[in-house]
Amino acid sequence: MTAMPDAELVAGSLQDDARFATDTPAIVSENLAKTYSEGLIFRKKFQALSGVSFTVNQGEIFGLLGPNGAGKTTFIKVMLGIIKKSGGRATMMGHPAGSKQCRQSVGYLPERLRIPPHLTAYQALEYFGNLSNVPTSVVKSKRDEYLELVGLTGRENDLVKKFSKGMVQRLGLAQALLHDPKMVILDEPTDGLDPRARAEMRSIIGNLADRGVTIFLNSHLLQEVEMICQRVAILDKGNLRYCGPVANIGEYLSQAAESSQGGKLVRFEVLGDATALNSGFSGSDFKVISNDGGVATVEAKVQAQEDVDRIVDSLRKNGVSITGIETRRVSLEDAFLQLTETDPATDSTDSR
Amino acid sequence: MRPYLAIIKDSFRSALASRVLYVLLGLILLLLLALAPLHIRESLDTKIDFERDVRTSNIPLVAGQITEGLAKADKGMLRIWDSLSAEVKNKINKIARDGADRQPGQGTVSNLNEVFAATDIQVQLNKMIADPKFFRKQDWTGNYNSETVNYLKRGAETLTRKQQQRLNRLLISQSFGGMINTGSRSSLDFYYGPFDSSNFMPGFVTTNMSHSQFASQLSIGVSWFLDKVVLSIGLLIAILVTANLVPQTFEPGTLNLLLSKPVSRAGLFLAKFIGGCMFIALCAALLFVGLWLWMGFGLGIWDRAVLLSIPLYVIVFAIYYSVSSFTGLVTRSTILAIIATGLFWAACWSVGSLYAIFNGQAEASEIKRIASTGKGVVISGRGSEPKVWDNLNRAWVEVSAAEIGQEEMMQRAMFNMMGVEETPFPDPLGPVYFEEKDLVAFGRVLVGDPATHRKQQFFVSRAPGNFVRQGVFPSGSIGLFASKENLICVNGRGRFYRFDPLIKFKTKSTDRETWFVSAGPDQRVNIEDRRQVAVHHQSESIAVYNQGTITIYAVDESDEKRNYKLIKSTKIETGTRESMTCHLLWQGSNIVLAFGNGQVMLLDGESLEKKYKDLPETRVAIDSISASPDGRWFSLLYKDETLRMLDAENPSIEKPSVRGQGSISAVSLGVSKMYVADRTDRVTEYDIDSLATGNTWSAKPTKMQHFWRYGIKPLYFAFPKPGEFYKVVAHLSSTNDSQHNPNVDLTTQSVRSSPWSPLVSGLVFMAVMLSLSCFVFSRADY
Repeated sequence: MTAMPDAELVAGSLQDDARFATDTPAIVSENLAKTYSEGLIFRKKFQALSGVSFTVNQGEIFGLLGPNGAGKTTFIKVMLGIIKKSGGRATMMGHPAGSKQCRQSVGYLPERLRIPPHLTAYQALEYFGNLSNVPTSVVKSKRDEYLELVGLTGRENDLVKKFSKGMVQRLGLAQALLHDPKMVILDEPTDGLDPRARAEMRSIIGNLADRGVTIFLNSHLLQEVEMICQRVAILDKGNLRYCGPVANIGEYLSQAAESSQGGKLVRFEVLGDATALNSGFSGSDFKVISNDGGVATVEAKVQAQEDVDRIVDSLRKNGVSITGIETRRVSLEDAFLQLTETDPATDSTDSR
Repeated sequence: MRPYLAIIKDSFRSALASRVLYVLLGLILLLLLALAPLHIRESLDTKIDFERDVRTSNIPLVAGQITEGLAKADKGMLRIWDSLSAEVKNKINKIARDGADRQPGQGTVSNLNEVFAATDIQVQLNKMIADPKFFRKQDWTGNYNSETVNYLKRGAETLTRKQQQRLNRLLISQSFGGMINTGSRSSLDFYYGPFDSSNFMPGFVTTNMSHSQFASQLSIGVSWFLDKVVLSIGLLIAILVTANLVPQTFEPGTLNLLLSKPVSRAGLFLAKFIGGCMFIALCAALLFVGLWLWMGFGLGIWDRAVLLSIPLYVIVFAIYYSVSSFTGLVTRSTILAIIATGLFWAACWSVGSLYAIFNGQAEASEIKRIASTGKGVVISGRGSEPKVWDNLNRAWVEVSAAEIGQEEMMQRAMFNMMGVEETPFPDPLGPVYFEEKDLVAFGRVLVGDPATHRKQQFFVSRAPGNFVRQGVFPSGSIGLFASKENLICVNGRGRFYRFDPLIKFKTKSTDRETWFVSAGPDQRVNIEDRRQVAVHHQSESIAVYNQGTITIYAVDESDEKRNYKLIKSTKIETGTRESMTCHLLWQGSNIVLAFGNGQVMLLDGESLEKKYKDLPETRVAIDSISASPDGRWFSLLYKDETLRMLDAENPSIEKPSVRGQGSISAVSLGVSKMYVADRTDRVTEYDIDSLATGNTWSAKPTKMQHFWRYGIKPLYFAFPKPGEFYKVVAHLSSTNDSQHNPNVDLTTQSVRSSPWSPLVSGLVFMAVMLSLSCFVFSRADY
């Protein structure tokens, strides 16, 4: 599973970055690490980020992909200063991660956002705008535009407690834009939304990107990231697995899947009795998928073409008829799942 | 600034949304609306109320008084009789008949009849007062008081309705020959809206008083109300409604967004805190401004203490709220925040109570007097026997004298437990050291034996050996002084007595006899207090200060009995009022006057010319003074338990650098030595000139004393004292600041170390809690 040379991939992605660079990078993370300590007396340590390095350029839509508990939210919180890093270096818009200037220059839509229910949409925009140091008069002049952008026109004076989850998310996005940030950080923006709301959210994000806003997106859904993002980083158990263009992710994933399996899978459909089969496949790593009255399906792991040839020869020598040979293709989703098989024990750490 | 204002604004929005603010403001408004119609009017006292105006024992005699008046053909009484109803007349006649028949010593039943009749008479009399036709000029020709005469002169026709009734009331009262009081001129009528509700006022409210009396009564009531009702119920409500403000912020989904904003965490927390405080300030302002307006318009009392309570109340709340916020921050739980605040209140209360108990105990066992004997010191405290130092056990032990009974010990212990300042019996006299004969003498008062309250038992001993009872002091003795050669005793009837150890008695039992012989003077001297009297160490002359005058008495050597005679009486220009408490001391060629307002005067002993006068800016009453035998040094012990020294040779007052300034309870000056008692029971010997420390006698502290000194005292000092804020209010509202008025006698006032100390300790505590909260908040990961 850890056979991929991470360093090489990251180095490669840094070369890619050169094409996108317009200004200072939006995010630079170098060996960023975070260790949580829990418990008062018996301190239990948990490594949420172990030396993560990558760069996000301005103007791109960047996705941070990983299963629950991979450390995606931790990464964002470190960048925003909500938690303190334990090691490494990180900057955002040229400012040290977590500094006031850095928080001033980005907009943030947290995961499972809750907006105080006693506020109306307008009041919420005023409140959060003021918190971002935007004067009330400016908020008033902009709020309709942003509410329209997120599709909440007509609900301006409704109380937030009457809003659906999707509407709250959209209002959350509007408040993240009030102070004209150069970058917006979205933590699972489509989580818990129905398909239509997801589509709407995606189109809003697209609109934002068109305005030149850098978008940093957290998601555990590969499809989602594939649909929106230009570049992707894959995080798993605190380690960076991949960073590069979204187009290459399939290639990477199948390679990763192959390497994690220890080779390519080839499926043989054969006719012959069990003894003949066993002696035919002897010497290779194989698995009988089905055996129905002499017609059997067997999967064998191979490293190269010679291995296939050898198996074919051996089968024929043992009198087994081969009715079909097929190289097994791994689906992206399977590859992603395989790559990031989650350990249930670490599952909840993402939601801090 | 903008983000923090937004947070404060949001606190209000959420309070409004949760309707808490509406409910609170509504409740306060309801309270104010309920109070608003209640107001008072000052008017003439026109009602006769036997309960108030007639002595209880006289009530049964009212009916008889009418019969008596009729017998004398008193015109006024005849008029009253005419106006009585037939039924009441019958009753009175019956009582008169019964009275004639009755034998002395019998008649509880008829007594009851008389009381019932009196009730009927009262009703009838009040009807007459209200009847405009009752007054006829020809009926009222007797001798009346000036108020009545004044009304009669003006003529009934010119009087207002109320004045006519007052006149009727006066005339009727006086017809009963002084049995019924005429009442004070004014009375307060309580109105609830248009209705006179004086009769419904609770019994403890006496309506029969002037407006200024009422105002002073009410201000006591108001400070009670503020202290107990608002500070307990109000605070409880305030804590309950604000406890969730901080934990609410920590709900997931809300906090992350807040923390991602470009605001400092300390600022965020403080803004939340201030939001809570302002919410309470709003409620407090409404309540207090409402109360203030009601008291002003309704009762005619404009008390600024009520308005000053707004900020103070908010500060007290903020102290509690800092605890609530801190707990809310750390635990993110509203319930725990409330519990922690409750525990904090309990802790404050416990520390305050423990301090009061221990402080009372410590004060009760303080050394109050020291007598230096040349071989050590004899000390005495409040309600305890004199003690000497036992070097072997390193402790103060009671001198050996005739033993005290078990019951007496119990009673003394009880008074000590209660820690009462004013005991219902006189202070024991002495101990004093009588140099020439090397004797120590003291008086003993037995709590359980009233005879000794008047005539104290007299004990004398060769210092400090076994004390021997030698009868009693002269009756009503208030002061015992040692001159060089004699023991002089002064009693409250203005007589001087001299101890005569060689006196011979005819009787065998000498317990009720006195060894003191009268030493004049011929004219009675006006003495109320031992502080007014000073005996000169060398010459035995006596000086008495009374109402600004010093009178000198000297021994008449030509007289065989060596009685005292008056030498001179001189009026002293004191610069303060004559009745001011004054301590007098006469030693060497100097007389010192130390006043209850903190003023000190040094006079020449011969000419009584003023040599030095000092009135310090911050005033504390002087508790006791003592002088070195040569008359150069005078110690001034102030009520705040600090010591200052007056150097008569080079007149100036200095604060000597002795141990325990602030806890000194007694000082005694000997020849070149000074003995200072501090910290309850430690006595230190100093050289007067160099202030070099000599012997120290200090008992090993008990565990309780350790607990008091190193536990309770520092804890009390550091702890906020929200329960003492009424002192600040009292200080702010006191209009005539006694601290600066030279005519105010501070002797009986308790020392206020600093009226601001509860405020300061509260604010310090709050600052610590808030800093701690900000520190924790800034460091935490969320």
